Amino acid sequence: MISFAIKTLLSNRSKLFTGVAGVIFSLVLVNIQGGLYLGLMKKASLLVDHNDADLWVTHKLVENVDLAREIPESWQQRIRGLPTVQKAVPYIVGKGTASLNSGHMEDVWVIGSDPDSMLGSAWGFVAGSRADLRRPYGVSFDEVDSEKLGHPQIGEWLEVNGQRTRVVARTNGITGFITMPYLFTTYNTARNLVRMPSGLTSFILVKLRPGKDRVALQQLIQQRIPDACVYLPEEFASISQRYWMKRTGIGISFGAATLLGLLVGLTVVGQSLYAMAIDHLKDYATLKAIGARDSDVCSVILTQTIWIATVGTFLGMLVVYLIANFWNSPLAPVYIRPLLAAASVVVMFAICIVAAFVPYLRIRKIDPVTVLIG
Amino acid sequence: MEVPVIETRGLIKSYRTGEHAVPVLRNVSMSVHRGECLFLVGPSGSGKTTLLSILGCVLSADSGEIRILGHDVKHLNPDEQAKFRREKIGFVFQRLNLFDALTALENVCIPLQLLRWKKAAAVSRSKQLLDLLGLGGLTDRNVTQLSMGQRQRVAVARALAADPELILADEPTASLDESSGLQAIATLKDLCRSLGKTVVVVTHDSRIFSFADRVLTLNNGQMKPSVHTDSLSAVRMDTNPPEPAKKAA
Repeated sequence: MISFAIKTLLSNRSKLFTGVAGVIFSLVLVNIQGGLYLGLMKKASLLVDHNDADLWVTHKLVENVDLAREIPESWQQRIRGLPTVQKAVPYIVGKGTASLNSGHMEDVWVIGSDPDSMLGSAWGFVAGSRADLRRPYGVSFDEVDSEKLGHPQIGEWLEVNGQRTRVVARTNGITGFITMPYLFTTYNTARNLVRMPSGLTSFILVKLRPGKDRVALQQLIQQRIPDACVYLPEEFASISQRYWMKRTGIGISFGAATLLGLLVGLTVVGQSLYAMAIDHLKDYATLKAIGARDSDVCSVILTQTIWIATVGTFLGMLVVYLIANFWNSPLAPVYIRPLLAAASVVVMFAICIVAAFVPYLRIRKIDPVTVLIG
Repeated sequence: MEVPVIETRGLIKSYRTGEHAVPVLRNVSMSVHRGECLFLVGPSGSGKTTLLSILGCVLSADSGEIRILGHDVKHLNPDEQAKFRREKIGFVFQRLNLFDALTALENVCIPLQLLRWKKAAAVSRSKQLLDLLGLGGLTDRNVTQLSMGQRQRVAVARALAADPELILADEPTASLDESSGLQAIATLKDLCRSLGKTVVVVTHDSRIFSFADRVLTLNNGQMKPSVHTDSLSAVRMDTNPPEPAKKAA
């Protein structure tokens, strides 16, 4: 019955096109919405994800990497004393205000890394390098923020919190969740720029000796400094993401849009299959009159459904690929994980099969006697 | 004595229109023997197609007995009826009901696919039948590209594909001109006779009555003795079954 199913499907091109378009639309919407959501969530944990630290030591009330609270700098000494620790360095994430030549002000994040290890410093350099950040009052900015910062050029001065910094490097792709420009510099420069009180810092970043157990050290530090919170990077990334998810309700809005995409797919595919079934009621009645089982009729509808789903999925994923690769930007990153793509395909097929139930139930009700007695 | 292919006794069928039941078949009894070509004739609304539908197991009688090929089909459930139709009965519908999206060959293959034949065997059998019907060169032609006469022959091939013992044809000449109609009924009868099939044809086309072994007339739901012209001497003109016809080799 496969050739019957496919030839019948192909004979009704407009409805076939509508069905395939429904799958494409639904799949693209689900993947792009999901990809945008994941991309935004990645932005919420950007500083953690691009940091080589094995452990993050934070204030107990910290819920987000961008919104740090001060902790004693002296904790690093207590951590360094532990046998499996290779390195424990302070790290500053603080707020500043840049004064632009135009007279405008722009809020910025100032990120300060230990100048020796440069742990947690900038990446994706398109001009300058990490080494340049060690120059006195040297800062990097991202290309995405160029307009916000008045298009600063390498070597120019940029005033932050009333202090002069020199632009020594430019990066690409470093944009946080709330899109305030990140200025990367060394620890001491950052301390001066954000006016961090003496003896305090934002985080302590810990590197383990090779081959040592992260979780064991995490527990050890937690025991030694009960006032701190010690996180594995993936834990802190997750906490940072959850913070924005809960505060903004972003998950609900993206989830609703994704659900809408699935509903549109369900409706369009279901409507196309139903309309196609109605167009071919005579054929189905004939099939039943000459002895087709319900399973034969079901196999026809299922074949058509799977065909629409397969073609739609192939074309839909092609569109998704093109969008993800050529329409992606640091401001609106579309981060499509293989798991998301695979799940969307599985859900799409499931939706198509559900959509096939309506025409199937209609066809099941056809009485074969209608072929003889109209 | 050989069991009749069709045997009915006291068949009654009514259709409900609102509160009222309109009788369509009243106490119809008949027998058809193997190899016989029986025509059911009568005016419009006389119950011919209803009777054919009951004989084809697509409609159930309200009461009475009906045995097809020795099976009591009255008590078959819908799945069993479908199996019976698939295996034992071939249909030629009034409007042919070919599948327009398919070729002639694919149309003929459908009953064999329903019987789960292997594709190669189904194609071979279908080609053989289309050859027999003079359509050997048109097997890959879409049925919408065929003439009405050719389509009619495809419908006959499809009815014969699963090698059923009983062929039911509803007004098989209705959509054909006179010469095509005569040719179609002659082909149907010759082929069925050579294959040893039993054929029941519903028709009101008097031009083709001469092709029947026997003619039964339905009038207002009742079986009447049929009266024929003398030139149709071969035709039995009563409601009694003839002696079983010898099955052709």
